[in-house]
Amino acid sequence: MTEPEDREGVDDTQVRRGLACLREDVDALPLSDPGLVRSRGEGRRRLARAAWLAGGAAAAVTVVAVALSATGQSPPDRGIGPATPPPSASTRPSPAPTPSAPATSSPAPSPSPPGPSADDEQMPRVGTQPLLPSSLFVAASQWSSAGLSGGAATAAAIGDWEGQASVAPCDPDTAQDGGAGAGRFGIVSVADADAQRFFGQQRVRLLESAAAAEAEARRLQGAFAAGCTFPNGTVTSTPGKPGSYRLEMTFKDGSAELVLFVGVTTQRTPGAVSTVVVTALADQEAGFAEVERLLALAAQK
Amino acid sequence: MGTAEVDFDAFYRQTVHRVVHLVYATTGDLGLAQDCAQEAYARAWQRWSTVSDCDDPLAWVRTVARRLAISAWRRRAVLERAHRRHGVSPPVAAPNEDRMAVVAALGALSAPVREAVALHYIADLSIAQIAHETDTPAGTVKARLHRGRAALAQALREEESRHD
Repeated sequence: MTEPEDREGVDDTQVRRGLACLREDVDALPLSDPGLVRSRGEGRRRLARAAWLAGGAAAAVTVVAVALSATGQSPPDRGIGPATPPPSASTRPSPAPTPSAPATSSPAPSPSPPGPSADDEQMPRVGTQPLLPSSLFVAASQWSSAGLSGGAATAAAIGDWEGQASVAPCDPDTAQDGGAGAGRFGIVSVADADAQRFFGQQRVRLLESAAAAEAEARRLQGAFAAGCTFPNGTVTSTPGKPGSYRLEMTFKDGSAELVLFVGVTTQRTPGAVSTVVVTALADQEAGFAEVERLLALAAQK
Repeated sequence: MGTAEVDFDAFYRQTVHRVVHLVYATTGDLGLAQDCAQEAYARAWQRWSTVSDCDDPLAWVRTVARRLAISAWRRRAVLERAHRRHGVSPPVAAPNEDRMAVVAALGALSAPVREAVALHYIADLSIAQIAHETDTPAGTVKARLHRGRAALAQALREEESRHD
């Protein structure tokens, strides 16, 4: 009679042999030229940039990845597959502001100006499991405004997501879902009702304490205030009110510049810190007005 | 050609077959595996400055390729359901006859079990590494591997005996 351990060994050999034969199929495939693969990557980059400029859909997310560390948005259920592995050592690096960078305007702001009250809304979102509750995010319907959506309704949207926490260029939160040090974060993306035009994203990171959230907010602000470079260009930052920045991406290859507005605030929930990104506006006054309005709503959460 | 291009090209040449092999075993579809692998490498190049700084760029590519394959698979399942509703048979790519037994045996496993088997036997990941990469407890991975190995071996043995 075969012992269980022997049986496992026999099975092991059988499985290895079976799977190895698939490798023969693979080895018989012609290897695409890496130059073509790089061209495909460049094509994605150009497409994303064009879609962004056209106010187009999910590419608004992808283009951010051009800048540095990728970004994300996607289906509410992450069940499509396993967690992305960690770029371990590179997760959550410290920001490296340049000496000439503008100073951080102030420590983590907690705006609580008079204004509309934040609503709660159940929304599709992505992030680490278990997903952060929708109640930590600004209701997608409250992104709607004359300035941002022309008064049209807005809704949470879904798309492809590769597991990254990053939501903007120069974003130092490069954690990867499933990676060591990913912590807890979630992202909601907002578009029009047909998901044809994306307006922006909100990332909420939940830390262990209010003090940790304050520190994280300062870290994020420092990085966004400093701006950064990426292989194909530079991101220049212009500060608005404390915690909000206009980021202008210029490209070495002559592509048209891109502008987005980003804001960081701690939230009423202890340990929660929000990063709000508005991608659909280029005008400085309108962009700052919208990101600051959304930050005020996020701070109530 | 710059250093980044040289590094990327070397990385691609050294690893692409392993990624295609992994996705092939996970999906049973060689064409899909090839396309998902290429797309994953294209995305890696898109953000190469970040990916190349990772401890394990191959893990990044592998996971993106698997995610793409699973998404494509889901889209295909929806399409097939639509075809069935309209009484149309979807086009099915015929696998290489020699490999049909292995592909069929893999196809009989549940997706998580098949994934654990592929990651262990093709990507050479340990139980701990699979647990980390799939965000699954190590005990669950161990059980999946045990089940998958036994079921796959049994199916392959039966297939062999039919041909003897």
